[in-house]
Amino acid sequence: MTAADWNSPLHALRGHLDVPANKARTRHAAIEVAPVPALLRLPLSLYGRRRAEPCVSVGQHVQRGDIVARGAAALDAAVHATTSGSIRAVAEAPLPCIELEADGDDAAADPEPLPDWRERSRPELLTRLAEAGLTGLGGAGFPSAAKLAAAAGIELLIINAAECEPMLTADERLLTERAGEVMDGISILAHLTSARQVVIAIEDDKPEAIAAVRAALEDHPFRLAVIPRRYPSGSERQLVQILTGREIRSGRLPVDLGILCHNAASARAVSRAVIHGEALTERIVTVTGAALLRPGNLSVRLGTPVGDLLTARGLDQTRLAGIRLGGPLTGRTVTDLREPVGKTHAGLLAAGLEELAPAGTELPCIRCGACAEVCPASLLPQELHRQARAADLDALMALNLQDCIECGACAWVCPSRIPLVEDYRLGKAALAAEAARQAAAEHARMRHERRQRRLEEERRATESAREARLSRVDAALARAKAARHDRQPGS
Amino acid sequence: MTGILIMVALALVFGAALGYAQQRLAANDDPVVARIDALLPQTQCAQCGYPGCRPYAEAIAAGDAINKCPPGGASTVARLAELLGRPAEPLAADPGPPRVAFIREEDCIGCTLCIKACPVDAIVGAARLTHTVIESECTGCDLCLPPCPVDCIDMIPVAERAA
Repeated sequence: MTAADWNSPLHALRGHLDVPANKARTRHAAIEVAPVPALLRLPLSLYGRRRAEPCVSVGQHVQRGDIVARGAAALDAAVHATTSGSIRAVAEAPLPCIELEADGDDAAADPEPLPDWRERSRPELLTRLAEAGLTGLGGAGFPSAAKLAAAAGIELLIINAAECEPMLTADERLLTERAGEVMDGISILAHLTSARQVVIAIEDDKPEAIAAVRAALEDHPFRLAVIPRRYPSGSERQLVQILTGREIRSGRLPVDLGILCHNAASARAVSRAVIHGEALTERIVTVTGAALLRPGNLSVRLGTPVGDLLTARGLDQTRLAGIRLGGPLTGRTVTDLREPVGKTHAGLLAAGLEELAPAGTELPCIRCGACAEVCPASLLPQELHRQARAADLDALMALNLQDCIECGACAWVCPSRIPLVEDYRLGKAALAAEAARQAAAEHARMRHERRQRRLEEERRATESAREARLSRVDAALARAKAARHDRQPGS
Repeated sequence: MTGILIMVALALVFGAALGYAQQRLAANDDPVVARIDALLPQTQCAQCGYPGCRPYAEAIAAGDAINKCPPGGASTVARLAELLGRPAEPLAADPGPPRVAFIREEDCIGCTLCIKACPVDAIVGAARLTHTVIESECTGCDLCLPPCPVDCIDMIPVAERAA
């Protein structure tokens, strides 16, 4: 243990999944640059089911790093052209995206580096991050600028390099080869959040990356926490728990405890965006799986179709059991090879049968409770499953479905092969739709009540005006009567 | 004797306190009506036969059927059934897809009749100027259709409008 090591005791997770790391295939493969495909699909979807608006026209020529679409909110991450070429279409399939036809020159827009970032104001740096299209590269893809805007003066900044998901080695290679760039990014993040303490968390099965980080830490006041390999230690809430022993309450965020988590790859992207002035147009993706002839860690242009990438690395159809974007547990099965690699995809798997969750015909739940034992969020997966199938939204709320981190541990151990996480995703979508409906109803009620009140006030105003008029008439009549009375005294 | 006096005094004190509380803290709002109203979709569409959601909530509290709200759909009926402990009945009418009103501006004569009919102030415009519907505020209640003298309002499914 050296001075740079994390000095408080680590805490154990409540539930975790024992699953082989399965990383040997790409662990020592140096990062290579993937070829730029002929056609790229730049996804328009933003965090939280929102959508960016295209700001280019079909046929327009763009350079690498030009903004092609923007979100409505001020700190939304912009969408960029990831190579030079012409805009072919705004397409809805396989997902809402802008199709960019590469011209082969790969000409980049002029970068605007800010080497003097320490002198720049916070809003300026945040705007730069949003304009550079930065989102979290770890999982959820929350816009980095918005996340940082809500976190000034925090206690602890956690740099998440745990990479607990089996088969993925993108962050491990990044730290091994480019620890310096990651450190620069962390310095910027620490500056933006005024964090009192910074810790980099890595699982203990990555000695090369740990050595590289330790070497890079000589010039920095950050600490290193080597945590035991435990799936899902890389999940934000679980990592906070491991490092600090504090649990984040349902519905709260780490920032409510004065803690901010940022992924190591995101930190590197921050340094590229600020120090080099480059937009986020590529990321490191572990392309691997038993059905792939040449697995590796590739620096991939965002928007590269999955099919192109797999073909480039040699796909063995006979061994292929499933293609997944992301990891074997948290990833999503790809059915359309035109689908692009996006900002949040750290892996692309051409998986063999033994690498995915045990598949097979779904059988009824036997209430064995294995799912509840592995759940790191202390939920009741089998109850959630039952209520999600019954679409009982109130029960799902009561069971805290919102706290499910979709780590996939429950589905992995389920002896009945129930695709539990799919049920939870559908349940979450139904909860979100119901909440939107209720918000709309509440809004309509408020508008209706205001209108009723306004109409009532208008009616009262006309009435009192009429009464005032009538009383004026009465007064005039009374005066006239009195005058007549004065003229005819004695009558 | 003392015991009786104490009991009488206590009865008087508590009686007075309760009477005062009833006067001062009277529920100015029938809580059942408010809770029913909270479950209704607030389209103010009057398809239930009452002039808005709150009047229908009052009617339900007074014993009317709970299945007269097409925009609320089966889920609203189910929630009402649970709240009131009544059996969930099937909807009296088919709701159809959610819709919003759209004014064909070239046909609009600017008569302001639809503005007066809109229960949520979702139509803007002035006399002899074209009107338009604020799409995000429209609840799709159809109430602007009957007063329009030139039939220039269409009801468009929300999904189609977004595409």
